[in-house]
Amino acid sequence: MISKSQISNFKSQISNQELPNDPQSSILDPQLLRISDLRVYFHTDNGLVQAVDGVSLQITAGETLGLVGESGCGKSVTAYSILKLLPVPPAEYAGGEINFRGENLLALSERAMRRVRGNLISMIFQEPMSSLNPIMSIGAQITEAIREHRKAPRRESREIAIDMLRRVRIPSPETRFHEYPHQLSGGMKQRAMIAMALVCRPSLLIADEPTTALDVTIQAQILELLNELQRELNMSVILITHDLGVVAETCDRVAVMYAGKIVESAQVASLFETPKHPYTHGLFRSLPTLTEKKKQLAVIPGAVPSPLDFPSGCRFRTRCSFVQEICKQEPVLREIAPNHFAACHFAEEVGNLARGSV
Amino acid sequence: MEDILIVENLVKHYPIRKGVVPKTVGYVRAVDGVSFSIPRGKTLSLVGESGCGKTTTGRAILRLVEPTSGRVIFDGRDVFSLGEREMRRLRREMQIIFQDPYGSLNPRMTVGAMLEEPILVHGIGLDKESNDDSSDQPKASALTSRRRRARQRVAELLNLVGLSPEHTSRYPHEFSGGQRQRLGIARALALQPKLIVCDEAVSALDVSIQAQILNLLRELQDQFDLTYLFIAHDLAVVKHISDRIAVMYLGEIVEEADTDEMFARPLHPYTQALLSSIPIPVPRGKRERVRLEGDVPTPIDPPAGCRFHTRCPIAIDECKLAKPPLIEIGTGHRVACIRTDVSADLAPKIR
Ligand SMILES: Nc1ncnc2c1ncn2[C@@H]1O[C@H](COP(=O)(O)OP(=O)(O)O)[C@@H](O)[C@H]1O
Ligand SMILES: Nc1ncnc2c1ncn2[C@@H]1O[C@H](COP(=O)(O)OP(=O)(O)O)[C@@H](O)[C@H]1O
Ligand SMILES: [Mg+2]
Ligand SMILES: [Mg+2]
Repeated sequence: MISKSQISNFKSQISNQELPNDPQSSILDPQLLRISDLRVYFHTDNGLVQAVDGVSLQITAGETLGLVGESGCGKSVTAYSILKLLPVPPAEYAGGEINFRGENLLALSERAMRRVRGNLISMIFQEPMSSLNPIMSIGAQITEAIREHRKAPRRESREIAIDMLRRVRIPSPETRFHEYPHQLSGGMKQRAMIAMALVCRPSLLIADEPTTALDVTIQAQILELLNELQRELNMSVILITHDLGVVAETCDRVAVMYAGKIVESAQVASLFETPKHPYTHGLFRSLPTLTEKKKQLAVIPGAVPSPLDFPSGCRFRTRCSFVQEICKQEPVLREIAPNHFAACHFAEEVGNLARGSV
Repeated sequence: MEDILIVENLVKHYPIRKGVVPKTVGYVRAVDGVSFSIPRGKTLSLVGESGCGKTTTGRAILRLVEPTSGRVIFDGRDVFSLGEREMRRLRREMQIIFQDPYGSLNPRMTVGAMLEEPILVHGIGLDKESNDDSSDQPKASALTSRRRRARQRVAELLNLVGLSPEHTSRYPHEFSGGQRQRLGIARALALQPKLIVCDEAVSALDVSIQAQILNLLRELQDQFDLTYLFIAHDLAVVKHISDRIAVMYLGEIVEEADTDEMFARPLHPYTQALLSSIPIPVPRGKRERVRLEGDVPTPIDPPAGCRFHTRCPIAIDECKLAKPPLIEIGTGHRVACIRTDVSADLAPKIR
C-alpha cells in the first residue's frame, strides 16, 4: 500500500512543471516506467479473459519501445492499464505494479491519476476522434488541456496552443486554432490529436496504432513528426503497432506479445536479425517482403487461441513447429543473449537459425 | 496471351445532391478515364491512397455501381451493353471478395445454406458427382440428387479453402477473421468464376493469417486459372501477389508496369513517394524518401493539369497547364509524367 504522505509527495512533484526532465529522478531509477508482472483480467459472461497475464516491461528516458503482436494479444489493454483507463468491472487489475518514476500508478487514487493523464503520460489513438471533441474548436480543446494542468493565463495558453499546432506542422495555425475537427483532413486531425497530447510536455507518450488507418505517405509524415517531437521534448514513447516495418524504422527496443504475455524483447536490430522465439521467427517468415520473391509464404499454422481457452504451459505451443513435451510447462522470459529476452524452452536453438530459414 | 478483361476509359462520377428538392450541385470524380487490361490467369493490382478510386473501379467493372461512361470487355462480351438477364449470367463469372467478409455474410444463415443456395439457383458444379461418400449415406434417398450433389459441392468448397465440412452447420459469427475470409473466398468460388476482384481482401488480417490467405489465393489461381483484380494498399503484399501493377491517383492511372519493373524503375514521382514510404522490416534500413507535403486534394474539384502537381516535389509550371498523357516508355511500362527525365535519376535510390 502507498502511504498518504507518498501521494501528497507525488502530487507536489507532478505539479512541478520542471520535473519531467528532472535528472534527479532518473538517478533514483534509470527506468522511467517499470511494469512488473502486470495481470489484467476481464470478467465476462463467457468466463475469465486473462488479457494481460504477467507482463513486465521497462522503458528508459528518451527511448522508443515498440509493442507488437497480433490483434487481441493484449497490447491496448497493457497501454490502457498504464493510465488506468479500463472500466472496472469488467476489468480487474489482478496483479503486478506499474512504477512510474518510483510511484506505483496502480495504487494511485482516481484524483491523482487525473494529474498524471495528459500531463506526465499522454496517449494517442488510431482514431483521432476518440480524443477530439467534435463540437469544440481545436484551439479550445488544446487550451483546455493546458489549463487542466497548468495555471496559465488565457492569453498565454492560447500562445502555447498555437505554438504546439505549429510544432505538429499544421499550416496556418492561427486560423486552424478556430476550426472544428470535421474541417480537418485525416492526417491533420491526427496532428491535432498529437498537439493536444503533447502540449503539457509529458515524459511518456503511449501511441496505440497511431498510423494504422493512414495511407503510407501520411504515415511516413506522422512517424517522422513523432520522431522529431520526441527528440525536441525528450520524451519516451511506447509505440503499439502490428507493422514490423514501422518498428524497424522508429523504435530502439521492441517487445513481442502473444496471447497476453511478452514472448520476446530485445534491441530492434538484435530481434530482427536473430529472433529467438518461434512465434517471432514465424512472423518474419510469413511476411511478404519487397526484397525476396517467394512463390508461397511460410505460414504459422492455425489461429491465435481464444483468450477464454489458452493452452496450458506455453501459449504458443498449439501452433509451434518446435513443440516438445516440455512445452506444457510454462517457459519463463529469460535473457538468451545480452539484453535479448525470450520465453521459450528452445530459444537458443531458434536463435541459431538464420532468419528466414527453418 | 489473351486479355480476359479490357477496361477502356472507365469513368464514374458520383453526383452530389443538395437541397430540399435534391439538385445535383457537383460530382465526385471518383474514376476519371481509367484503362487497363488483364491477361487470363494473371493478377493486376490497383494501388493508391484511400479515395483514389480503386473500389469504385472494381465495382464499376462488375456493374455493382453504374458507370458514367467507358467500356469493359470481359471474356469477349461488352459488359455495359448487356441486358439484366445476360448480366446476371455474367456476374457468376465475375466475383468480388471484400475486406470484411462479415458484413457481406448473412448472420442468420449457416455456412452450408449460404454456399448451397447459389449453387442450386444457378445449377453450377452439379454436373459431376463424386462418389466418395455415397455408400454410407442412408438418408441420401430422402434428398433429391441435386440437393445431395450441392452438399457434396459445399464440402468440396470448404476443403478447397482450408475449412472442414464439419463447419457446414455453423454460423458466420462462430468463425475467426481469417476463417471468415476463407468463407468469403468459398462463396466467391461457388459459382466457378473466371475473375475475382479482391478488394482489400487481406488488409484487415494479422500477418500470420494474411500469409495463409495469400497462399490460398495463389493456389486457387493455379488450380482454376483464375484472374485477379487485386486492390490493396500494402505494397509488400501487392508485390508478392501481382504480375502487374497500376498506380492510381485521384481517379486516374499515373503509372502501370509489370511488378518487377515497377519496383525496379518507378518513374512517376507519386509511385516513387508511395514505394519509398513503405516502412521496411529491416533495422537501420533508412532509405532515401521522396517526401510528399500535405494531403490528397478532393476529387470533387481536382487540380488542373497534372492532378499530382500540388504535392509533387519536382513539378514545374508546365505541369499545372496540361494533363500529361499516359505514354509507353518501355515494354509495358506506361507513365503519365512530363518530368521522367528528372525522376529517372531518383528511381534507383529509393529502393
Ligand atoms: N472491455 C473488455 N471486455 C472483455 N474483454 C476485453 C475487453 N477489452 C479487451 N478485451 C480482451 O482482451 C484481449 C486483449 O485485447 P487488446 O489489448 O485490445 O488487444 P490488442 O493487442 O489487439 O490491442 C482480447 O482478447 C480482448 O477481447
Ligand atoms: N457512393 C458514393 N457516393 C459518393 N461518393 C463516393 C461514393 N463511393 C465513393 N465515393 C467517393 O469516390 C472517391 C473514390 O472512392 P473509392 O473508390 O472508395 O476509393 P478507394 O477504394 O481507392 O479508397 C472518394 O472520394 C469517395 O469518397
Ligand atoms: Mg489494440
Ligand atoms: Mg476502397
